[in-house]
Amino acid sequence: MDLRMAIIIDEKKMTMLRNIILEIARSAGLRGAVQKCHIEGKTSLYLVRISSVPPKIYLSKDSVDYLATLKPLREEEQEELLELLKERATILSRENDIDVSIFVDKLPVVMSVQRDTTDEEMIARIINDVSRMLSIRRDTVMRILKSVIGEEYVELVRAYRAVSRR
Amino acid sequence: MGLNRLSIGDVLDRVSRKFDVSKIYVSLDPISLSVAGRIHAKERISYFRSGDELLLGILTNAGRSIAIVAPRLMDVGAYITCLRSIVNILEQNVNKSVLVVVLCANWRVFSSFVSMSVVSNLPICIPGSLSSIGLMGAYALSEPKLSVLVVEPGLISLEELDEELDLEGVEGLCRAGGTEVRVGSGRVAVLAGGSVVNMLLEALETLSEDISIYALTSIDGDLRDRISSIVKEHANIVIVGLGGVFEDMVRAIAEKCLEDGQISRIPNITSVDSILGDGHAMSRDSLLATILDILGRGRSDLSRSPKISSIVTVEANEEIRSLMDKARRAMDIDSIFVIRPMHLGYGEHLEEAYEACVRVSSAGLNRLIILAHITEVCRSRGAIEWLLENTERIILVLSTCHTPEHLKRELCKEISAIAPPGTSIITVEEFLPERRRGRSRLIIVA
Repeated sequence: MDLRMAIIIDEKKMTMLRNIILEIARSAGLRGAVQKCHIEGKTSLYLVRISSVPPKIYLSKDSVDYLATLKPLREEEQEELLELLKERATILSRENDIDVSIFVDKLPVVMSVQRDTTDEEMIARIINDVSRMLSIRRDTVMRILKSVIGEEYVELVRAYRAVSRR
Repeated sequence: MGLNRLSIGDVLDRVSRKFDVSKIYVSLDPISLSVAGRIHAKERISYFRSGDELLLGILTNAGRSIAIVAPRLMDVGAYITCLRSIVNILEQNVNKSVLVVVLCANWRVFSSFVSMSVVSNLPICIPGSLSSIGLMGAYALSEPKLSVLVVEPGLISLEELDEELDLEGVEGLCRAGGTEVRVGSGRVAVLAGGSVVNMLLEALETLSEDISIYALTSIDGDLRDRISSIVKEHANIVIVGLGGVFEDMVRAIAEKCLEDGQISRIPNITSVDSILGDGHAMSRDSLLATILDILGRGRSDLSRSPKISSIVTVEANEEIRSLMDKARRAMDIDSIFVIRPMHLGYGEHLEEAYEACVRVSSAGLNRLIILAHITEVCRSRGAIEWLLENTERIILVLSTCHTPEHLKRELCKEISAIAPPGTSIITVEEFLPERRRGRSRLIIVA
């Protein structure tokens, strides 16, 4: 197992998401690593790697399996990400936040959600996708959510409950 | 063995507990404060503002000590001089173990620190992973001497879920001389330092017959001997991730060997940093493509590093973002400056507060919003005072993230002392944009 993700999100939300993703990896008996980078010195990009051996994070062409962005991206930023993306990788974004034609050569699976989707719903989708890729049961993820974030983000728990039912 | 979450702060915490470190000196800057935030024994933490204070602290402390510092580019020379003084003093007064962890927020600081250490003969270690920080820290604190770990930006923002550090085993490994690595049997020598060694080791599967990797984890008095043995053995030397000074140094050593008749010709010396480097994180593919090109194994168009950097920043939180928006609406402004390591996403990001002074005086800017960390008041006191006195209207937003409460109170007192008459110092809640027009200077502690 070697899952590499790139997530564009703000620091506070990533702190919470990082805790959840690493706990999910721990439940799956896997190791993980998270590193913060910047695209063109501006937009924060988090590289996540989950692996059965100690994961080393570095930039590499065609390495990212899953790209999620909670922010609209400029064309130049998308071109930088294109280099990192693997063929047939998954992209999660809000409608019109990315230009799919830039990524078309990599034949990605694009999950474009409605513009009014909240950040919590986007995060819930990421959690759902990660847990499915690592074959972690829904009730285990619910337990992790409750233990990691407690009562602070009720909306996230609610959003995950809705997303994972589908 | 269970899996644990590790960041550089956690590693230093474990090392400090294992070796019963009596004092942890933390520099007043947001990066050092965020790393120190992961250290549990807060009572052992002391804060320092300059190299002189650090020197005094280390010399007066009886036991083992750790210092954490994230210098700006302009401070590198001062810290090298200070550390050099500590090394000289400790050589005469043994029985003190001191570990100085230098957190480099960007590649320019890293490269400058490594280059200046080599030039000033300051022994340093360059860890390539979190576990090697533990390894080198354990080794440093088990010996009575000063050790300097220069940490590259990628490791500062890294968090791993991995097995617990085995500091007992690590200590034994260090004593057995396990800090030097030579892998491969190729004719081309690749001298590397830091995390780039991991990338090269992975690449070795395909290049093991072409290259020999020399991982320089420590740069000390033996360096010249080690490099001259490499120069004698290899006719082609590639330098990766160690800064520009190494290219000149290897060449100078080779010339000396040639003069002494130890080699018949100067080796072909190439620095990959100068081919690829523009401050961005090195990509594995561009590094390999460049090495293959040097080896004469074909040229590809990959030798461009992606414009993705691993610079360390402190992101403005939601409260500061909304405050900045309100402040922008409250007055007509000429410019928004953000002093690094603070990061906002818009506005002009400057390395130092002094750059803002230069911009104000050269471009005649008069209405400014500046975002900086509260510790900038100590680091660039003169610049902040100058900006407050020489602008018509200014809103200075000082972020307090990663700052402990007692330190925040102390720094607020300092802000009151430097603020010129007529300056209002308020909190975020007290900021009312509609009243802004009547005031000319405002400091908001957020």
